[in-house]
Amino acid sequence: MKEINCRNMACPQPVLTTKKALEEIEQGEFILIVDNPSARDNVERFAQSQGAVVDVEKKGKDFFLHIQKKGTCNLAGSIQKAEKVVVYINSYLFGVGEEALGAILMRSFLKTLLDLKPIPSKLIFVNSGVRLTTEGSEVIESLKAMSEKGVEILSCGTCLDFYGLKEKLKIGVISNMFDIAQSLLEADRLIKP
Amino acid sequence: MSKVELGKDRRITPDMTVLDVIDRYRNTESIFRKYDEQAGVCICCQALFETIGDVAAKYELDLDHFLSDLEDAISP
Repeated sequence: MKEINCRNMACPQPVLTTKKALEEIEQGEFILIVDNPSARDNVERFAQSQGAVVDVEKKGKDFFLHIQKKGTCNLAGSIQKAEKVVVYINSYLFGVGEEALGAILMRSFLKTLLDLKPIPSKLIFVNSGVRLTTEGSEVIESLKAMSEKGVEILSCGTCLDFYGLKEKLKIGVISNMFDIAQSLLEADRLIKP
Repeated sequence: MSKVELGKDRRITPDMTVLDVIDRYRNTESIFRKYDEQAGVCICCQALFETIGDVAAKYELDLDHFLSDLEDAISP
């Protein structure tokens, strides 16, 4: 298995090296070696945020991170590039009209998404949509189930800040306009409920 | 609701993470190291996934100076 030596590299070089290694493969695995806990934590966190599975083993003073990037298989078993379906949620309500109905519909929509194919690659929450990924949201369990299936969940940082919810994020990661705009541009299909 | 200052014509904005900035603009790495002493920590080690705005607030850095220094590092 490929080993990447990141010993004696100052942060954030190990993370940047991990990023490059993950971008170079559709799926596969490699071992990345670092020599300090900060690098270990940052690499692990980054790789997991990209949907990779990470196992960490300590050997002496070094940390060996076994990083597995999962690919996507079709029913015939061959590897295909997954269509990037991005769901863009800019409100905690589904549709326009009564608030109570909008909340019910949004809960139902997110629950239904779990059972449909293709599964989205990303859910992006902006504006009041960030109320769905933070404390008090009634859809956290649905979002957790999607996250476990590899769906990336992004919440706009500016929006979280605006609503005073930055410390109350319960699922996914805090994103920024650059990543959000890039995700929207790179989507093969964009869904906006 | 909190008031949020949005970046105007800057390429580097407060809502970008430290990792985003360094990944896109490698020249900024030295700026973050320069601010390590003032912050009291290695920013790249301890705050890699935090936004520039959050780093400034957490470590009591002057956000405008911080952003200006970062912009200067990537100016042609």
